[in-house]
Amino acid sequence: MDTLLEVQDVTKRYSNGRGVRNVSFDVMKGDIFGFIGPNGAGKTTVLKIILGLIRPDEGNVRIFGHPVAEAFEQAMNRVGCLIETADAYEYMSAYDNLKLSARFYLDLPKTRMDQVLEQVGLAPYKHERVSGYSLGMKQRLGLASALLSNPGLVLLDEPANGLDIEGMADVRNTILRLSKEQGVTFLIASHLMHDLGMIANKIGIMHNGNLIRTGNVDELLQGGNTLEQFVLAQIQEEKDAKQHA
Amino acid sequence: MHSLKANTINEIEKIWHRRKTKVFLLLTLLIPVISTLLLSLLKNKTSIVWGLGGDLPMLMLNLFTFFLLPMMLSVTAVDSFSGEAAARTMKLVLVRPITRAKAFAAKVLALMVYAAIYLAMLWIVSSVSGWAIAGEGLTGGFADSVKAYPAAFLPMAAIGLLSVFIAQCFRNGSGALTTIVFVYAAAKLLPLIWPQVSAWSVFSYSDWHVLWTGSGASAGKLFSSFFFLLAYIIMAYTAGLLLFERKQW
Repeated sequence: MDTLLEVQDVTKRYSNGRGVRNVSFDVMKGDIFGFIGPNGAGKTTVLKIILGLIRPDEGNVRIFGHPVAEAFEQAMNRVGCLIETADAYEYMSAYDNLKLSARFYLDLPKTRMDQVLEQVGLAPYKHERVSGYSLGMKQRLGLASALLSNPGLVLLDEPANGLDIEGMADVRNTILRLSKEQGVTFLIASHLMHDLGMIANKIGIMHNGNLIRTGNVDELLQGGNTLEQFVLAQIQEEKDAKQHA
Repeated sequence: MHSLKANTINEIEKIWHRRKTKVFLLLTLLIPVISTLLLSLLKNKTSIVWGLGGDLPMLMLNLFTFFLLPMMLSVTAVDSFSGEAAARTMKLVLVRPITRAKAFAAKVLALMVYAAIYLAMLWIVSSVSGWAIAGEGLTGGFADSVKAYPAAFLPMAAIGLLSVFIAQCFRNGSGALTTIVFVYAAAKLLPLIWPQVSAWSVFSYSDWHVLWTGSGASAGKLFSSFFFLLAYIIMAYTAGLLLFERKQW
């Protein structure tokens, strides 16, 4: 099985003492990897390090075999992402926003922008300025932007932000369909364990800047626990271990 | 190089979509026309002889390079850097397949393209309105403008790049713009107290194009001024790039 993403011993310390420590994990082709943890656990920091938005103090990241620090363009060529909040140029339309992103990819057909807008349900509003969009519409645009380049690896940070129940189901179905039909690999950071539990085949649990557990969902949940119960138990174990240390 | 080209086009398009860009372009069109009309009126009323047709391009260049053009370039630089940082849109570019060095270069190139467009438009409009409205032929002043306008690009580029550097020291646009205006005003006023300052301030070279008019300055003076401005451009670009490369988003 091909390893699309390798995160090796990544450490980042912020001036406030927080950050992430020695985070290592791999994401294989075809995985839907759920990156789970409470708010402030360090999920977004790890995602930003993967995408080169933050430089780690130590450690390496390789995407499609290319080191992000040395060969950024090659590493990012087949990556799509929605990170932190779905920001866009508010003075432009959704279509124009996507047009800017599309220019980076030489072999992208012109119809691709309409395809992804259709896919996320924004086609009727594509020529409206983003400044008039609701939070949910912006989130859908962020998702369209992440999927625009037909990426092999998609990183999503809290993709359900601002979406209603129908929107959340749409996102889940889109992820499952792309994974099944096109073999797209996903790394999804979220604190919504129930949502992730429905689609992820692997998970990594972040707590207080540490990756405390990774594994296949089927194997980890053999005891009949739900994902939420399992994650909470893992976090409690980690807290107990720290108290005794 | 594809990513550099793609992002340069993107940056040009983003600047074009901002309302203030269109307002400034409109000012660049209107000010020479209105000035010509007013000066023609003054000429008819007072019989003062203006070499209006040929002198207007130089008159407009002096006016624009003293304040309007540096301000517009600074506003554009602030929008492109601290403005995008505040709107959290910078990462939209940085997560695409483009290195930070190229992303920075594209932003600077777009700024320079607009500086060239503003100057070209000003030259065309002031030349045409001087000729069409004032009804005067092409004089020596017009010939000077052919040399002066391209020359004026260099100090504008230096001021633009200095604004890019300052803009990156701030997380919001208003703080950056206030600082740039303060620095610009101080740099223009300080030589009145300490004349020696003007020799080292890039802002004192905003009227560098004047050296290219008439019989012109000596080759040595032009040569040294050219390298002084070039040095400022290289230093401001390098410092700006260093800041851009180190930023965490």
